[in-house]
Amino acid sequence: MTSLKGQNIRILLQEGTKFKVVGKSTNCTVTLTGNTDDASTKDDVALASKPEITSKSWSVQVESLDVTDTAAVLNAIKNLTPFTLIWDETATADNQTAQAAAYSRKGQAYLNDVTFQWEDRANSTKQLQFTGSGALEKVSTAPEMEIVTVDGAYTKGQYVRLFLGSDNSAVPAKIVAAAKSLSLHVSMSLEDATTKDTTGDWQVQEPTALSYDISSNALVSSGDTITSTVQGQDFASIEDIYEAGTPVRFQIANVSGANNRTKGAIICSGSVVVTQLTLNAPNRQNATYDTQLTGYGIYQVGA
Amino acid sequence: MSKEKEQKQQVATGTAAPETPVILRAKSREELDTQFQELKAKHDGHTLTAGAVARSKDDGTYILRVDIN
Repeated sequence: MTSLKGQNIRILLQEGTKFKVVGKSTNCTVTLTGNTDDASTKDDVALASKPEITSKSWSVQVESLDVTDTAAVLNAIKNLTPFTLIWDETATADNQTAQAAAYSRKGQAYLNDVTFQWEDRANSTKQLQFTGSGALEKVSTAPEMEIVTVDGAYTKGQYVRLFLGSDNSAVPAKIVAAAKSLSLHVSMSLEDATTKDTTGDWQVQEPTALSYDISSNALVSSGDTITSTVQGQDFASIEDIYEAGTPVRFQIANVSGANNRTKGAIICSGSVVVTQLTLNAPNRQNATYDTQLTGYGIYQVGA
Repeated sequence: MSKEKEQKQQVATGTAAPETPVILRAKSREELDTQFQELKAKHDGHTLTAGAVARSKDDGTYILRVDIN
C-alpha cells in the first residue's frame, strides 16, 4: 500500500463555473469541529462528562508561495463575499485535476484571516484561512477544473518593503532601513449567526469586524548613518512615532534599485499606529527591533 | 491562462474594464514599471491594483499581476 501524499490533497476555489487550485501551495489543513455541550447531570453517579454534539463547524488553511495576487486577496477579505471551495484528491499526473474522492467536500466559506510574509532573501509566503458558513456537501462528481499555469516565479522578500511616514497626511517617503522581515496580517472577525431558524447542525457565520496589523523586524544601526545613507526610518525615529501616539501613513510597495529602496507599484497603503516596539539585544548577536503597527481605518489596495 | 489570452489582455484599451487579471512580463524591473505606468494611463478612470513582483527561476522574467476594477 502506498499512502497518499500531501501534494495530492488540494484546496480548490471556484472562479466562475470552474474550480482552480491555490497555486504554489505548500500545505493545507482542513479542520472539522464538533462543538459540544456537556449533558452530564446530577442524575449521573459517575464523575465523567457527557459531551453531546450540538453544532458543527469547519475551517481550511492554505499556505502558498504565490504572493503575486496580494492585491486581489486584500480586496477579497474586505469584500465580505463567501467563497465556494472544495477539498479533494488530485491526479498525480498534474497535481491539479480533481478526482471526487470519498472524503471530498464542498461548502461556502469566508476568507477571514490572511498573512503575507516578506522575509529578506527568502521566498515570500501567504497563509489563507477560510471559515465555513453553512453545510458541507459530498462531492460525487469531479468538479470542472481550470488548470493553473505553473510559471516557476517567486517573490524574494527583499523586493517588497515598508514605507512609513512621520505623520498622517504626506505620502510616506521613508523606508524602514536595515529591515530583515515584514509581514501583513488581516483578520475578519466572524460571529456565529446560527439561529433556531437554521436547518441542520452546521454553524452559519457572519463577518462583523475587520482589523489588520503589520510587523517589521530590522537591525539596530546608527540613526545618523541610516538617515544619511538611505533616508530611512530607524529605531530612534520609530520610537518618536510611538511616543507621539498618533497615526502615520504607510505603504507596502514593490522596490528595486540600489539598496532596494526605489518605490515601484504600491501593494497597499493606509494609516497605522505603533502599538508595540521591542528592542532585542542578545549577547554577541546583532541587535534588532520589532515594530508592531496596527491599522487605523481601512487600508487601500494600491496607492 | 494561455499566452494568447495574456497578450490579448495586455493590449486591451478603451474605457471598458478589461478581463482581469492582466499579467505583465518584462526582462527588467524598469521595463516592468514602465509597462505598469502605461497600463495605468490606458485605463484612466479604473482602479489598478498590483501584487508583489515575482521573478521566474527559469528565465529571470519579472512578472506582475495587475487587477483592474
